[in-house]
Amino acid sequence: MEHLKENILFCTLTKRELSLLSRAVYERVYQPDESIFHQNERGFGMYIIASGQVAIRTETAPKEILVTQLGKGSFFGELSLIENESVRSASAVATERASLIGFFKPDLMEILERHPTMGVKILFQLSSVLGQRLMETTDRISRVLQDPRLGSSYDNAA
Amino acid sequence: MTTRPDPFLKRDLIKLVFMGLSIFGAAVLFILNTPLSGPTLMGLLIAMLLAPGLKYMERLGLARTFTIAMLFVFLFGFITMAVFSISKILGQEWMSFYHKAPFLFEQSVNRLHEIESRWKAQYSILSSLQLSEAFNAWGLKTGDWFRSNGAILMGEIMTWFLLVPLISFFLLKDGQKIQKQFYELVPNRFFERSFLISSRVSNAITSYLRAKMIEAILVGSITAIGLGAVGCPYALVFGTIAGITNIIPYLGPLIGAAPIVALAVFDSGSEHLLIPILIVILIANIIDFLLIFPIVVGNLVQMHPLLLIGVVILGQEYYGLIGMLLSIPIAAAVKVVVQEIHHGIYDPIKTAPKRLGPLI
Repeated sequence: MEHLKENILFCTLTKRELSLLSRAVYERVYQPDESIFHQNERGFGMYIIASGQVAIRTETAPKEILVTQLGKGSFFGELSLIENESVRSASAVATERASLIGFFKPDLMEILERHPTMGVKILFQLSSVLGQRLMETTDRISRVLQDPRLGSSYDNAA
Repeated sequence: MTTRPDPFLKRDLIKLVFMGLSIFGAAVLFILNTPLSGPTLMGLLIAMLLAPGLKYMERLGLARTFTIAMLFVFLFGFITMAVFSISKILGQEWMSFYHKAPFLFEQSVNRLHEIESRWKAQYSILSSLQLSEAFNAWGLKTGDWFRSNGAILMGEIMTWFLLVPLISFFLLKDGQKIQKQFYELVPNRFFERSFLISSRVSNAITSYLRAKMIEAILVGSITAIGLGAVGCPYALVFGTIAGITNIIPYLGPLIGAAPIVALAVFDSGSEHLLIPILIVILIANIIDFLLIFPIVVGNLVQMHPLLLIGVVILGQEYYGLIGMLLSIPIAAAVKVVVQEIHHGIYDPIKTAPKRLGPLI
Protein backbone atom coordinates (compact mmCIF):
# COMPACT_ATOMS: atom_id res chain seq x y z
CA MET A 1 0.00 0.00 0.00
CA GLU A 2 2.96 2.32 0.70
CA HIS A 3 4.07 2.15 -2.95
CA LEU A 4 0.60 3.10 -4.09
CA LYS A 5 0.31 6.02 -1.64
CA GLU A 6 3.63 7.45 -2.82
CA ASN A 7 2.60 7.32 -6.48
CA ILE A 8 1.41 10.60 -8.01
CA LEU A 9 -1.63 8.86 -9.56
CA PHE A 10 -2.94 7.67 -6.20
CA CYS A 11 -1.61 10.29 -3.78
CA THR A 12 -5.02 11.97 -3.50
CA LEU A 13 -6.81 8.78 -2.41
CA THR A 14 -8.01 8.26 1.15
CA LYS A 15 -6.79 5.37 3.32
CA ARG A 16 -9.95 3.36 2.60
CA GLU A 17 -9.64 4.01 -1.14
CA LEU A 18 -6.00 2.94 -1.08
CA SER A 19 -7.02 -0.26 0.68
CA LEU A 20 -9.62 -0.92 -2.06
CA LEU A 21 -7.02 -0.17 -4.73
CA SER A 22 -4.49 -2.55 -3.18
CA ARG A 23 -7.02 -5.36 -3.71
CA ALA A 24 -7.35 -4.45 -7.40
CA VAL A 25 -3.65 -4.37 -8.32
CA TYR A 26 -1.33 -7.28 -9.17
CA GLU A 27 2.21 -7.74 -7.93
CA ARG A 28 4.57 -9.36 -10.43
CA VAL A 29 8.24 -10.20 -10.05
CA TYR A 30 10.58 -10.04 -13.07
CA GLN A 31 14.12 -11.41 -13.27
CA PRO A 32 17.01 -9.48 -14.92
CA ASP A 33 16.56 -9.35 -18.74
CA GLU A 34 13.00 -10.60 -18.50
CA SER A 35 10.59 -8.80 -20.78
CA ILE A 36 7.57 -7.04 -19.24
CA PHE A 37 5.99 -6.18 -22.57
CA HIS A 38 7.05 -5.74 -26.18
CA GLN A 39 6.73 -2.79 -28.51
CA ASN A 40 3.66 -3.03 -30.84
CA GLU A 41 1.89 -5.47 -28.52
CA ARG A 42 -1.56 -4.52 -27.35
CA GLY A 43 -1.42 -3.08 -23.85
CA PHE A 44 -4.09 -2.31 -21.32
CA GLY A 45 -2.38 -1.41 -18.10
CA MET A 46 0.39 0.38 -16.29
CA TYR A 47 3.15 -0.77 -13.94
CA ILE A 48 4.60 0.90 -10.86
CA ILE A 49 8.14 -0.11 -9.90
CA ALA A 50 8.14 -1.24 -6.26
CA SER A 51 11.80 -2.29 -6.46
CA GLY A 52 14.47 -2.83 -9.11
CA GLN A 53 15.18 -1.20 -12.47
CA VAL A 54 13.34 -1.26 -15.79
CA ALA A 55 14.64 -0.18 -19.20
CA ILE A 56 12.27 1.33 -21.76
CA ARG A 57 13.49 0.68 -25.32
CA THR A 58 12.21 1.26 -28.81
CA GLU A 59 13.12 -1.26 -31.46
CA THR A 60 13.53 0.51 -34.78
CA ALA A 61 15.61 -1.58 -37.19
CA PRO A 62 18.56 -1.77 -37.40
CA LYS A 63 19.18 -0.44 -33.89
CA GLU A 64 17.57 -0.50 -30.47
CA ILE A 65 17.24 2.82 -28.65
CA LEU A 66 17.19 3.08 -24.88
CA VAL A 67 14.53 5.68 -24.20
CA THR A 68 14.91 5.75 -20.45
CA GLN A 69 15.90 3.75 -17.39
CA LEU A 70 13.34 3.75 -14.58
CA GLY A 71 13.83 2.95 -10.91
CA LYS A 72 11.84 2.49 -7.72
CA GLY A 73 8.68 4.64 -7.55
CA SER A 74 8.56 5.31 -11.31
CA PHE A 75 5.72 4.09 -13.46
CA PHE A 76 5.14 3.34 -17.14
CA GLY A 77 2.44 2.23 -19.59
CA GLU A 78 -0.20 4.55 -18.14
CA LEU A 79 -1.37 5.68 -21.61
CA SER A 80 -2.96 2.28 -22.19
CA LEU A 81 -5.27 2.85 -19.22
CA ILE A 82 -7.24 5.42 -21.16
CA GLU A 83 -6.44 4.69 -24.81
CA ASN A 84 -8.86 2.48 -26.70
CA GLU A 85 -7.17 -0.63 -28.22
CA SER A 86 -3.82 0.70 -27.11
CA VAL A 87 -0.57 -0.52 -28.68
CA ARG A 88 2.68 -0.34 -26.71
CA SER A 89 4.96 2.30 -28.21
CA ALA A 90 8.09 0.83 -26.59
CA SER A 91 9.35 -2.34 -24.94
CA ALA A 92 9.93 -2.68 -21.20
CA VAL A 93 12.61 -5.00 -19.85
CA ALA A 94 13.75 -5.56 -16.27
CA THR A 95 17.46 -4.76 -15.98
CA GLU A 96 17.67 -6.13 -12.46
CA ARG A 97 15.28 -8.19 -10.34
CA ALA A 98 12.19 -6.00 -10.27
CA SER A 99 8.98 -6.11 -8.32
CA LEU A 100 6.20 -4.36 -10.24
CA ILE A 101 2.65 -3.43 -9.34
CA GLY A 102 0.32 -3.80 -12.30
CA PHE A 103 -2.88 -1.77 -12.57
CA PHE A 104 -5.12 -2.59 -15.53
CA LYS A 105 -7.94 -1.01 -17.49
CA PRO A 106 -10.69 -3.53 -16.52
CA ASP A 107 -9.92 -2.81 -12.85
CA LEU A 108 -9.99 0.96 -13.45
CA MET A 109 -13.40 0.54 -15.15
CA GLU A 110 -14.56 -1.57 -12.20
CA ILE A 111 -13.43 1.16 -9.77
CA LEU A 112 -15.24 3.80 -11.83
CA GLU A 113 -18.42 1.71 -11.63
CA ARG A 114 -18.20 0.79 -7.97
CA HIS A 115 -16.51 3.87 -6.50
CA PRO A 116 -16.94 6.77 -8.97
CA THR A 117 -15.38 9.41 -6.70
CA MET A 118 -12.23 7.31 -6.32
CA GLY A 119 -12.17 6.62 -10.07
CA VAL A 120 -12.45 10.32 -10.89
CA LYS A 121 -9.55 11.12 -8.54
CA ILE A 122 -7.36 8.57 -10.34
CA LEU A 123 -8.42 9.81 -13.81
CA PHE A 124 -7.77 13.43 -12.82
CA GLN A 125 -4.25 12.62 -11.64
CA LEU A 126 -3.70 10.49 -14.75
CA SER A 127 -4.72 13.41 -17.00
CA SER A 128 -2.30 15.71 -15.15
CA VAL A 129 0.56 13.22 -15.62
CA LEU A 130 -0.21 12.74 -19.32
CA GLY A 131 -0.46 16.52 -19.82
CA GLN A 132 2.86 17.06 -18.07
CA ARG A 133 4.58 14.33 -20.10
CA LEU A 134 3.14 15.80 -23.29
CA MET A 135 4.52 19.23 -22.43
CA GLU A 136 7.94 17.71 -21.72
CA THR A 137 7.88 15.89 -25.09
CA THR A 138 6.79 19.05 -26.93
CA ASP A 139 9.59 20.96 -25.26
CA ARG A 140 12.14 18.27 -26.23
CA ILE A 141 10.93 18.22 -29.88
CA SER A 142 11.14 22.02 -30.03
CA ARG A 143 14.72 21.94 -28.80
CA VAL A 144 15.65 19.19 -31.29
CA LEU A 145 14.05 21.14 -34.15
CA GLN A 146 15.99 24.26 -33.16
CA ASP A 147 19.28 22.35 -32.88
CA PRO A 148 19.24 18.99 -34.78
CA ARG A 149 22.59 18.05 -33.15
CA LEU A 150 20.65 17.53 -29.88
CA GLY A 151 18.64 14.76 -31.60
CA SER A 152 21.74 12.86 -32.76
CA SER A 153 23.45 13.29 -29.38
CA TYR A 154 20.32 11.93 -27.74
CA ASP A 155 20.52 8.85 -30.03
CA ASN A 156 24.21 8.38 -29.32
CA ALA A 157 23.69 8.67 -25.61
CA ALA A 158 21.19 5.82 -25.78
CA MET B 1 22.57 -16.81 -37.14
CA THR B 2 22.11 -18.39 -33.71
CA THR B 3 19.12 -17.71 -31.49
CA ARG B 4 19.70 -17.10 -27.79
CA PRO B 5 18.10 -19.77 -25.54
CA ASP B 6 15.18 -18.46 -23.50
CA PRO B 7 16.40 -18.46 -19.85
CA PHE B 8 12.84 -18.28 -18.48
CA LEU B 9 11.34 -21.07 -20.57
CA LYS B 10 11.81 -23.84 -17.98
CA ARG B 11 10.35 -21.75 -15.13
CA ASP B 12 7.37 -20.70 -17.28
CA LEU B 13 6.72 -24.30 -18.39
CA ILE B 14 6.63 -25.44 -14.75
CA LYS B 15 4.21 -22.61 -13.95
CA LEU B 16 2.05 -23.61 -16.94
CA VAL B 17 1.92 -27.22 -15.68
CA PHE B 18 0.80 -26.02 -12.22
CA MET B 19 -1.75 -23.72 -13.82
CA GLY B 20 -3.13 -26.57 -15.95
CA LEU B 21 -3.30 -28.87 -12.93
CA SER B 22 -5.18 -26.23 -10.90
CA ILE B 23 -7.72 -25.66 -13.69
CA PHE B 24 -8.14 -29.42 -14.13
CA GLY B 25 -8.51 -29.99 -10.36
CA ALA B 26 -11.13 -27.25 -10.04
CA ALA B 27 -12.98 -28.59 -13.09
CA VAL B 28 -12.97 -32.16 -11.69
CA LEU B 29 -14.22 -30.99 -8.30
CA PHE B 30 -16.80 -28.42 -9.33
CA ILE B 31 -17.75 -28.75 -12.99
CA LEU B 32 -17.33 -32.21 -14.53
CA ASN B 33 -20.60 -33.89 -13.56
CA THR B 34 -19.91 -34.25 -9.84
CA PRO B 35 -22.60 -33.69 -7.17
CA LEU B 36 -21.13 -30.19 -6.82
CA SER B 37 -21.35 -29.27 -10.52
CA GLY B 38 -25.03 -28.26 -10.56
CA PRO B 39 -24.95 -26.11 -7.40
CA THR B 40 -21.61 -24.58 -8.48
CA LEU B 41 -22.92 -23.55 -11.89
CA MET B 42 -26.13 -22.24 -10.33
CA GLY B 43 -24.13 -20.38 -7.64
CA LEU B 44 -21.97 -18.86 -10.37
CA LEU B 45 -25.07 -17.82 -12.28
CA ILE B 46 -26.63 -16.17 -9.22
CA ALA B 47 -23.35 -14.42 -8.35
CA MET B 48 -23.19 -13.00 -11.89
CA LEU B 49 -26.79 -11.83 -11.71
CA LEU B 50 -26.34 -10.22 -8.29
CA ALA B 51 -23.11 -8.41 -9.23
CA PRO B 52 -24.81 -5.28 -10.69
CA GLY B 53 -26.95 -4.84 -7.53
CA LEU B 54 -23.82 -5.22 -5.43
CA LYS B 55 -22.01 -2.58 -7.49
CA TYR B 56 -24.94 -0.19 -7.06
CA MET B 57 -24.92 -0.61 -3.26
CA GLU B 58 -21.15 -0.23 -3.09
CA ARG B 59 -21.51 3.01 -5.02
CA LEU B 60 -23.57 4.28 -2.09
CA GLY B 61 -20.48 3.84 0.09
CA LEU B 62 -21.32 0.52 1.80
CA ALA B 63 -18.59 -2.03 2.59
CA ARG B 64 -18.47 -5.03 0.24
CA THR B 65 -18.98 -7.92 2.72
CA PHE B 66 -21.73 -6.03 4.52
CA THR B 67 -23.31 -5.22 1.14
CA ILE B 68 -23.26 -8.89 0.06
CA ALA B 69 -24.84 -9.97 3.35
CA MET B 70 -27.44 -7.21 2.98
CA LEU B 71 -28.11 -8.26 -0.60
CA PHE B 72 -28.77 -11.86 0.46
CA VAL B 73 -31.03 -10.76 3.34
CA PHE B 74 -32.87 -8.38 1.01
CA LEU B 75 -33.21 -11.05 -1.67
CA PHE B 76 -34.38 -13.65 0.84
CA GLY B 77 -36.89 -11.16 2.27
CA PHE B 78 -38.10 -10.20 -1.18
CA ILE B 79 -38.53 -13.83 -2.26
CA THR B 80 -40.37 -14.66 0.99
CA MET B 81 -42.65 -11.63 0.55
CA ALA B 82 -43.25 -12.42 -3.11
CA VAL B 83 -44.00 -16.06 -2.31
CA PHE B 84 -46.43 -15.02 0.46
CA SER B 85 -48.18 -12.43 -1.68
CA ILE B 86 -48.66 -14.59 -4.76
CA SER B 87 -48.61 -17.98 -3.10
CA LYS B 88 -52.37 -17.96 -2.67
CA ILE B 89 -53.11 -17.55 -6.37
CA LEU B 90 -50.06 -19.45 -7.60
CA GLY B 91 -50.53 -22.17 -4.96
CA GLN B 92 -54.16 -22.67 -5.91
CA GLU B 93 -53.20 -22.88 -9.57
CA TRP B 94 -50.36 -25.30 -8.85
CA MET B 95 -52.50 -27.51 -6.60
CA SER B 96 -55.33 -27.57 -9.12
CA PHE B 97 -52.84 -28.33 -11.89
CA TYR B 98 -51.15 -31.00 -9.72
CA HIS B 99 -54.47 -32.78 -9.00
CA LYS B 100 -55.71 -32.41 -12.54
CA ALA B 101 -52.45 -33.51 -14.19
CA PRO B 102 -53.10 -37.33 -14.07
CA PHE B 103 -56.63 -36.78 -15.38
CA LEU B 104 -55.36 -34.43 -18.11
CA PHE B 105 -52.70 -37.00 -19.01
CA GLU B 106 -55.26 -39.83 -19.25
CA GLN B 107 -57.56 -37.61 -21.30
CA SER B 108 -54.67 -36.65 -23.57
CA VAL B 109 -53.76 -40.33 -24.13
CA ASN B 110 -57.40 -41.12 -25.02
CA ARG B 111 -57.63 -38.16 -27.41
CA LEU B 112 -54.34 -39.08 -29.00
CA HIS B 113 -55.53 -42.68 -29.34
CA GLU B 114 -58.72 -41.48 -31.09
CA ILE B 115 -56.77 -39.28 -33.53
CA GLU B 116 -54.26 -42.08 -34.14
CA SER B 117 -57.03 -44.65 -34.85
CA ARG B 118 -58.69 -42.22 -37.28
CA TRP B 119 -55.38 -41.66 -39.12
CA LYS B 120 -54.62 -45.38 -39.21
CA ALA B 121 -58.05 -46.08 -40.74
CA GLN B 122 -57.47 -43.43 -43.40
CA TYR B 123 -53.80 -44.08 -44.14
CA SER B 124 -52.64 -47.73 -44.05
CA ILE B 125 -49.00 -46.59 -44.15
CA LEU B 126 -49.40 -45.43 -40.52
CA SER B 127 -50.60 -48.85 -39.25
CA SER B 128 -47.33 -49.57 -37.45
CA LEU B 129 -47.40 -46.21 -35.61
CA GLN B 130 -47.67 -46.65 -31.80
CA LEU B 131 -47.94 -42.97 -30.78
CA SER B 132 -50.46 -43.20 -27.94
CA GLU B 133 -48.75 -46.32 -26.48
CA ALA B 134 -45.38 -44.55 -26.52
CA PHE B 135 -46.89 -41.42 -24.90
CA ASN B 136 -48.61 -43.56 -22.26
CA ALA B 137 -45.42 -45.51 -21.53
CA TRP B 138 -43.46 -42.26 -21.19
CA GLY B 139 -46.07 -40.84 -18.79
CA LEU B 140 -46.08 -43.99 -16.63
CA LYS B 141 -42.28 -44.14 -16.61
CA THR B 142 -42.04 -40.46 -15.58
CA GLY B 143 -44.63 -40.99 -12.84
CA ASP B 144 -42.75 -44.07 -11.55
CA TRP B 145 -39.48 -42.16 -11.61
CA PHE B 146 -40.94 -39.37 -9.45
CA ARG B 147 -42.41 -41.97 -7.04
CA SER B 148 -39.18 -43.97 -6.64
CA ASN B 149 -36.79 -40.98 -6.69
CA GLY B 150 -38.92 -38.62 -4.62
CA ALA B 151 -36.75 -38.91 -1.48
CA ILE B 152 -33.48 -38.55 -3.42
CA LEU B 153 -34.95 -35.60 -5.30
CA MET B 154 -35.94 -33.90 -2.03
CA GLY B 155 -32.41 -34.55 -0.67
CA GLU B 156 -30.89 -32.99 -3.78
CA ILE B 157 -33.19 -29.99 -3.57
CA MET B 158 -32.16 -29.47 0.08
CA THR B 159 -28.46 -29.74 -0.90
CA TRP B 160 -29.02 -27.14 -3.61
CA PHE B 161 -30.83 -24.83 -1.16
CA LEU B 162 -27.84 -24.99 1.17
CA LEU B 163 -25.00 -24.97 -1.33
CA VAL B 164 -26.17 -22.49 -3.98
CA PRO B 165 -26.46 -19.42 -1.68
CA LEU B 166 -23.21 -20.42 0.06
CA ILE B 167 -21.29 -20.73 -3.24
CA SER B 168 -22.70 -17.49 -4.65
CA PHE B 169 -21.92 -15.67 -1.37
CA PHE B 170 -18.26 -16.73 -1.43
CA LEU B 171 -17.91 -16.11 -5.16
CA LEU B 172 -19.14 -12.55 -4.66
CA LYS B 173 -17.07 -11.99 -1.51
CA ASP B 174 -13.81 -13.66 -2.54
CA GLY B 175 -14.06 -13.70 -6.35
CA GLN B 176 -11.37 -11.03 -6.73
CA LYS B 177 -9.07 -12.87 -4.28
CA ILE B 178 -9.52 -16.20 -6.11
CA GLN B 179 -8.79 -14.46 -9.42
CA LYS B 180 -5.62 -12.89 -7.98
CA GLN B 181 -4.39 -16.24 -6.66
CA PHE B 182 -4.99 -17.83 -10.05
CA TYR B 183 -2.99 -15.11 -11.82
CA GLU B 184 0.00 -15.84 -9.56
CA LEU B 185 0.25 -19.14 -11.43
CA VAL B 186 0.25 -17.46 -14.84
CA PRO B 187 3.76 -16.96 -16.30
CA ASN B 188 4.77 -13.33 -16.81
CA ARG B 189 4.88 -13.69 -20.60
CA PHE B 190 1.19 -14.69 -20.74
CA PHE B 191 -0.05 -12.51 -17.89
CA GLU B 192 -1.37 -9.46 -19.77
CA ARG B 193 -2.95 -11.51 -22.56
CA SER B 194 -4.64 -13.97 -20.18
CA PHE B 195 -5.88 -11.07 -18.05
CA LEU B 196 -7.36 -9.38 -21.13
CA ILE B 197 -8.99 -12.60 -22.34
CA SER B 198 -10.47 -13.49 -18.95
CA SER B 199 -11.94 -10.02 -18.43
CA ARG B 200 -13.49 -10.08 -21.92
CA VAL B 201 -14.83 -13.61 -21.37
CA SER B 202 -16.30 -12.61 -18.02
CA ASN B 203 -17.92 -9.53 -19.61
CA ALA B 204 -19.37 -11.60 -22.47
CA ILE B 205 -20.91 -14.19 -20.12
CA THR B 206 -22.30 -11.71 -17.58
CA SER B 207 -23.81 -9.35 -20.16
CA TYR B 208 -25.46 -12.25 -21.99
CA LEU B 209 -26.93 -13.83 -18.85
CA ARG B 210 -28.26 -10.52 -17.54
CA ALA B 211 -29.82 -9.72 -20.90
CA LYS B 212 -31.47 -13.17 -21.09
CA MET B 213 -32.90 -12.79 -17.58
CA ILE B 214 -34.49 -9.44 -18.49
CA GLU B 215 -35.83 -11.01 -21.70
CA ALA B 216 -37.29 -13.95 -19.74
CA ILE B 217 -39.08 -11.67 -17.26
CA LEU B 218 -40.56 -9.57 -20.09
CA VAL B 219 -41.67 -12.57 -22.20
CA GLY B 220 -43.08 -14.35 -19.12
CA SER B 221 -45.07 -11.26 -18.09
CA ILE B 222 -46.43 -10.65 -21.61
CA THR B 223 -47.46 -14.33 -21.93
CA ALA B 224 -49.10 -14.42 -18.47
CA ILE B 225 -51.01 -11.17 -19.08
CA GLY B 226 -52.09 -12.33 -22.56
CA LEU B 227 -53.20 -15.77 -21.37
CA GLY B 228 -55.06 -14.20 -18.45
CA ALA B 229 -56.81 -11.79 -20.84
CA VAL B 230 -58.08 -14.60 -23.10
CA GLY B 231 -59.33 -16.54 -20.06
CA CYS B 232 -56.78 -19.35 -20.15
CA PRO B 233 -56.57 -21.30 -16.87
CA TYR B 234 -53.19 -21.43 -15.06
CA ALA B 235 -52.12 -18.19 -16.82
CA LEU B 236 -49.52 -17.41 -14.12
CA VAL B 237 -48.08 -20.93 -14.17
CA PHE B 238 -47.87 -21.01 -17.97
CA GLY B 239 -46.48 -17.44 -18.07
CA THR B 240 -43.77 -18.46 -15.58
CA ILE B 241 -42.97 -21.60 -17.61
CA ALA B 242 -42.84 -19.55 -20.86
CA GLY B 243 -40.52 -17.00 -19.21
CA ILE B 244 -38.15 -19.61 -17.77
CA THR B 245 -38.00 -21.72 -20.93
CA ASN B 246 -37.44 -18.58 -23.02
CA ILE B 247 -33.96 -18.40 -21.47
CA ILE B 248 -33.09 -21.49 -23.53
CA PRO B 249 -32.17 -20.21 -26.97
CA TYR B 250 -34.25 -21.27 -30.00
CA LEU B 251 -35.89 -24.32 -28.38
CA GLY B 252 -37.13 -22.43 -25.31
CA PRO B 253 -40.24 -20.76 -26.86
CA LEU B 254 -41.32 -24.15 -28.30
CA ILE B 255 -40.83 -25.96 -24.98
CA GLY B 256 -42.71 -23.18 -23.16
CA ALA B 257 -45.61 -23.20 -25.64
CA ALA B 258 -46.03 -27.01 -25.60
CA PRO B 259 -47.93 -27.39 -22.28
CA ILE B 260 -50.21 -24.42 -23.07
CA VAL B 261 -51.11 -25.79 -26.51
CA ALA B 262 -51.47 -29.31 -25.06
CA LEU B 263 -53.98 -27.97 -22.53
CA ALA B 264 -56.07 -26.36 -25.28
CA VAL B 265 -55.91 -29.45 -27.52
CA PHE B 266 -56.49 -32.18 -24.97
CA ASP B 267 -58.63 -30.52 -22.28
CA SER B 268 -62.22 -30.91 -23.46
CA GLY B 269 -63.28 -27.66 -21.73
CA SER B 270 -60.50 -25.54 -23.22
CA GLU B 271 -60.82 -26.37 -26.95
CA HIS B 272 -62.26 -22.92 -27.78
CA LEU B 273 -59.09 -21.34 -26.34
CA LEU B 274 -56.72 -22.93 -28.87
CA ILE B 275 -56.77 -20.04 -31.39
CA PRO B 276 -56.58 -17.21 -28.76
CA ILE B 277 -53.75 -19.08 -26.97
CA LEU B 278 -51.84 -19.52 -30.23
CA ILE B 279 -52.33 -15.81 -30.98
CA VAL B 280 -51.03 -14.84 -27.49
CA ILE B 281 -47.94 -17.08 -27.88
CA LEU B 282 -47.36 -15.73 -31.38
CA ILE B 283 -47.67 -12.09 -30.25
CA ALA B 284 -45.35 -12.69 -27.26
CA ASN B 285 -42.75 -14.27 -29.54
CA ILE B 286 -43.09 -11.56 -32.21
CA ILE B 287 -42.59 -8.85 -29.55
CA ASP B 288 -39.61 -10.82 -28.27
CA PHE B 289 -38.18 -11.34 -31.76
CA LEU B 290 -38.70 -7.79 -33.04
CA LEU B 291 -38.32 -5.68 -29.90
CA ILE B 292 -37.01 -7.37 -26.77
CA PHE B 293 -34.29 -9.56 -28.29
CA PRO B 294 -32.76 -6.86 -30.58
CA ILE B 295 -32.82 -4.20 -27.84
CA VAL B 296 -31.93 -6.27 -24.77
CA VAL B 297 -29.79 -9.14 -26.05
CA GLY B 298 -28.82 -7.39 -29.31
CA ASN B 299 -25.61 -8.38 -30.94
CA LEU B 300 -24.02 -9.83 -27.83
CA VAL B 301 -23.43 -13.15 -29.59
CA GLN B 302 -22.61 -13.02 -33.28
CA MET B 303 -22.58 -16.69 -34.22
CA HIS B 304 -24.28 -18.82 -36.85
CA PRO B 305 -27.74 -20.09 -35.67
CA LEU B 306 -26.85 -23.69 -36.62
CA LEU B 307 -23.75 -23.56 -34.44
CA LEU B 308 -25.80 -22.10 -31.59
CA ILE B 309 -28.39 -24.89 -31.85
CA GLY B 310 -25.52 -27.40 -31.83
CA VAL B 311 -23.99 -25.99 -28.63
CA VAL B 312 -27.40 -25.81 -26.93
CA ILE B 313 -27.98 -29.53 -27.66
CA LEU B 314 -24.46 -30.34 -26.44
CA GLY B 315 -25.10 -28.34 -23.23
CA GLN B 316 -28.36 -30.20 -22.65
CA GLU B 317 -26.61 -33.54 -23.17
CA TYR B 318 -24.10 -32.92 -20.37
CA TYR B 319 -25.72 -30.52 -17.88
CA GLY B 320 -29.46 -30.50 -18.68
CA LEU B 321 -31.29 -27.21 -18.29
CA ILE B 322 -28.32 -25.30 -16.81
CA GLY B 323 -26.16 -26.66 -19.65
CA MET B 324 -28.66 -25.35 -22.19
CA LEU B 325 -28.68 -21.96 -20.52
CA LEU B 326 -24.91 -21.66 -20.16
CA SER B 327 -24.03 -23.20 -23.54
CA ILE B 328 -24.35 -19.98 -25.56
CA PRO B 329 -22.42 -17.67 -23.20
CA ILE B 330 -19.71 -20.33 -22.93
CA ALA B 331 -19.61 -20.57 -26.75
CA ALA B 332 -19.37 -16.76 -26.83
CA ALA B 333 -16.49 -16.97 -24.36
CA VAL B 334 -14.68 -19.57 -26.48
CA LYS B 335 -15.19 -17.26 -29.47
CA VAL B 336 -13.57 -14.36 -27.54
CA VAL B 337 -10.57 -16.59 -26.68
CA VAL B 338 -10.16 -17.76 -30.30
CA GLN B 339 -10.50 -14.15 -31.56
CA GLU B 340 -7.87 -12.93 -29.10
CA ILE B 341 -5.42 -15.69 -30.05
CA HIS B 342 -6.06 -15.03 -33.77
CA HIS B 343 -5.63 -11.30 -33.17
CA GLY B 344 -2.36 -11.91 -31.33
CA ILE B 345 -0.94 -14.09 -34.11
CA TYR B 346 -2.12 -12.35 -37.27
CA ASP B 347 -2.90 -8.75 -36.34
CA PRO B 348 -0.72 -7.57 -33.48
CA ILE B 349 -0.41 -3.97 -34.71
CA LYS B 350 -3.58 -1.99 -34.97
CA THR B 351 -3.91 0.64 -37.68
CA ALA B 352 -2.96 4.13 -36.60
CA PRO B 353 -5.75 6.07 -34.91
CA LYS B 354 -7.33 9.09 -36.57
CA ARG B 355 -5.05 12.13 -36.26
CA LEU B 356 -6.47 14.87 -34.05
CA GLY B 357 -3.81 17.49 -34.73
CA PRO B 358 -1.30 19.05 -32.32
CA LEU B 359 -2.13 20.07 -28.76
CA ILE B 360 -2.17 23.85 -28.36
